[in-house]
Amino acid sequence: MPVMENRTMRSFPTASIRRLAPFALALQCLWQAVPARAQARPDSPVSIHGYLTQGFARAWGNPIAGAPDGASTLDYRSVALQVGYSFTALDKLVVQLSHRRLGTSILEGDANTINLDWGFYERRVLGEGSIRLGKLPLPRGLFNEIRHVGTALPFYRAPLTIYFESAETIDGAAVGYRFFAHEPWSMQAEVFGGGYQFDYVRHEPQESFVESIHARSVHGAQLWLDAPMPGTRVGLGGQRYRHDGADDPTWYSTWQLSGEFLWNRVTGRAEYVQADSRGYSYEAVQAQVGYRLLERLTFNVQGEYGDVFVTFPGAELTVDYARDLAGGLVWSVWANTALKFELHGFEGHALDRYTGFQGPPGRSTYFIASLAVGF
Amino acid sequence: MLNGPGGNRTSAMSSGSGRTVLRRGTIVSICALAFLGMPVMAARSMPDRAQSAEFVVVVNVENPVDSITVDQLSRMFLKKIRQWEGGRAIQLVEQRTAARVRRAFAQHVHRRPASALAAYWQQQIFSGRAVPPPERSTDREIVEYVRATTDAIGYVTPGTPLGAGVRPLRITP
Repeated sequence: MPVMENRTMRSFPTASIRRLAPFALALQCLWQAVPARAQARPDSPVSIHGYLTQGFARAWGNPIAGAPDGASTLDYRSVALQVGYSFTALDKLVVQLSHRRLGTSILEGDANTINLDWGFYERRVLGEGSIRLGKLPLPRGLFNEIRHVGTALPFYRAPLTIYFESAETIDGAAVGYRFFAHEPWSMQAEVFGGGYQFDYVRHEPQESFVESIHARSVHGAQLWLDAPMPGTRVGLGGQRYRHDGADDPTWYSTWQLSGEFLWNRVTGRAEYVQADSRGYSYEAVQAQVGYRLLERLTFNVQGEYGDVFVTFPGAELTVDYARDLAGGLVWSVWANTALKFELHGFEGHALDRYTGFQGPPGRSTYFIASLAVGF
Repeated sequence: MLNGPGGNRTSAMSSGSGRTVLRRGTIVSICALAFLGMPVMAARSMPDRAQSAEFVVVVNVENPVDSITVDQLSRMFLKKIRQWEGGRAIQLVEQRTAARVRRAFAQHVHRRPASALAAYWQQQIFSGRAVPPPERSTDREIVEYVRATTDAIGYVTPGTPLGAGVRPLRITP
């Protein structure tokens, strides 16, 4: 029986409400996303935002990232609703609920689950600083905090080799401050601590199941250097943690280098991550380039690779975990609505089936079409 | 730890790819240098963004700030700067999304198309960091808001009557 994913689950009074709730979330997002051009955003201590990304996915060669081989799926979506309440000019409470489906992947579990993405309290301090407490988005790289927000991403999802499908939030605290805010070059620094659960799918010859790593004593930081040119920044982040095993004193670590720039019609992003975990380490790189063909039409190209280095007693193994090359078009129908079409060519062991690290890598070509709305 | 006693990450390859950590590190370093150099090169080639006949930035007459740079103006409206240099919280007011003056402001100040700005605010909202500023439907409502709020800043179409209590703010390159 697979272990359920890492999000806090809330039970609803009746099964019928549970079944209807995801569709209610989706309808709410669609209703709010229709542009109301005559209306200006009002002042209010309450803010309500949401997004919906509905996808169509199909793979050829091997199943991957929930896209079935030789078949298609529409069970491929992310829906979220966020409510924030500013009870003073400096204090805010933010709660976000979500519902996610990942096609044929077992990672998402129950089809009608609504989860608590995050719930935290924020206090603004010292003008340019903030303190957050609760279940927060984990500050890591360009996309970790927005990995399911289709209107903010060039492709359906954030690069899988860098972000996988888990480790999105941390239960704990984060303190941030923007230094030199009024200068051409400014720096945003954030330190965090707490714990989280990281889920992944493990494929064995006879079955596939979800395994969890419980990270405790997590502490880390994310730094961003913002250039005078709008949309351009470079970041460095890292964290250390222990696995939740009383007899395992080892400290594990991850560090990541990120950068993005916007120059006329060209957008570029690149990231490098290195991580050490139990018995293996991991290294990955991703790079994206986008070119705005027309005011509302952008062409994007993305390449990524990840390697796993596995340590056995007396031996080591390097595994081509993933190589993915993708191209896609994004049509911004309105400012808060986008249609995306993307095609990926993949080679590696990170498929939705057992391959065996010592066997040859598998190949898959997969296509995703999606509608992304947000408000 | 990965390498083990006396181990070397490059000494054991499984699939014959022949890649080395050193070459990947070189690629990463080149990319990092390119990212650091790109904004410098781009900043030198940026045209003058301070002067535009399509909008006028306005503040309350009691605001002691005499001028700001166009970079500071952009970062204020993206909520990357939250305080005036005197320490008081900035009170932003935006034009409504479809307003022509808003598109002109985005083009000249933020140097991004509307879709990129929308994506930026989606990032801010769904990382829980910030929400877009409140909006007003007309230039007159913008002026009224700035008149009533000492620390407010907004922008209006050139030629909009400002009246008492509101003055233009000088924007420098």
